[in-house]
Amino acid sequence: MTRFDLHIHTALSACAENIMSPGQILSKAKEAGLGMIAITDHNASANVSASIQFGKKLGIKVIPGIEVTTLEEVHILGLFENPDELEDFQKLVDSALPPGKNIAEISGHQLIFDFSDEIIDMDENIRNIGLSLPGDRIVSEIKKRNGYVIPAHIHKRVYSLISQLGFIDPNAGFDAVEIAAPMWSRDGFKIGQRIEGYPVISGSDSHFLESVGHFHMEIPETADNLKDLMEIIKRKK
Amino acid sequence: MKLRQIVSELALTEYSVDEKKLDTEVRTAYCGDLLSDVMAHVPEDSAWFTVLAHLNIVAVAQLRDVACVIIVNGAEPDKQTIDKAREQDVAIFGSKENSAQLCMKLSGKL
Repeated sequence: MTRFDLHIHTALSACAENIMSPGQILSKAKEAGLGMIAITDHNASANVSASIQFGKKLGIKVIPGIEVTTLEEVHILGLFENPDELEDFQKLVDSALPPGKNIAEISGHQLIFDFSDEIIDMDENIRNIGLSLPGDRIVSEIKKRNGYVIPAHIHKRVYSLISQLGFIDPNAGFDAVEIAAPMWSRDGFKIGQRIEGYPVISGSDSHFLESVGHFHMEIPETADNLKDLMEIIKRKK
Repeated sequence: MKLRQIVSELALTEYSVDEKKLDTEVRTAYCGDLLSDVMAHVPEDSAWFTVLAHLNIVAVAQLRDVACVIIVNGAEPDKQTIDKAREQDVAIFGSKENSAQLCMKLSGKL
């Protein structure tokens, strides 16, 4: 049995609580019996390494991830098997960020933590904004680095495929599509269902520490890594 | 054209504005619904017309020093956005009409 959540923010995302340090997140995940989580900050990944380390101590597999905002302002999750692949993708993301400083008083702080769960830096770049890269380019760049592409909360009122483009392209090459947690629960979605041919999944999209663990996915099979998990999800009917 | 004249001519709903700001001279208008586009192009002291009504418009409005944000198509900002706008002195108005209709009314006046 695997309990997983592939969409969790840390304090590095301006809109997430400042107390969402890697250590706190992994503690909460442990309490909830999560076996696998992905750390997915907005256009950023500086808290992934520390999260992986805390995960190792607690026996939780941490997937290196990121939530990219495309040019069209669609949120897409990029999940990687290897932190190096994410690091390389992050370089591309950084080069495509519009100039501008994050205004912490309005948007919130972007905090970076070390392996002792102490704040070591603050990211000053504005990151809750669209990159200069269109969605299809983002998809191919994630795939080029052996990553998985999952558009986030596809029906959300803002920042979703439906809000920004009005449709889900069956030929876009996504690995899955994410239904927002409230909708997943409300409409009784199940793993195995498909939208436009893509397997549906959900995630907590936690921006508050208390949310971590409250909502998660569960499959009867044991998946030790992202590749196995995605294969299981894609096989289900 | 002064901001107070625009508010009155376009019959805008007020969500957040400091009395002093109503005398701001609005030089031009800009219509933009993608934040990255607005960040790159919106002129200072302009009236920014947008369908967006979430918190990020407050950050962008302040970063780019616009005269005001006018949320169109009847979209309503949530409480968090209104509170932040008031706290940060960002002027936000609303209208049921769309950007084109409103801008056409201002044609030749700015």
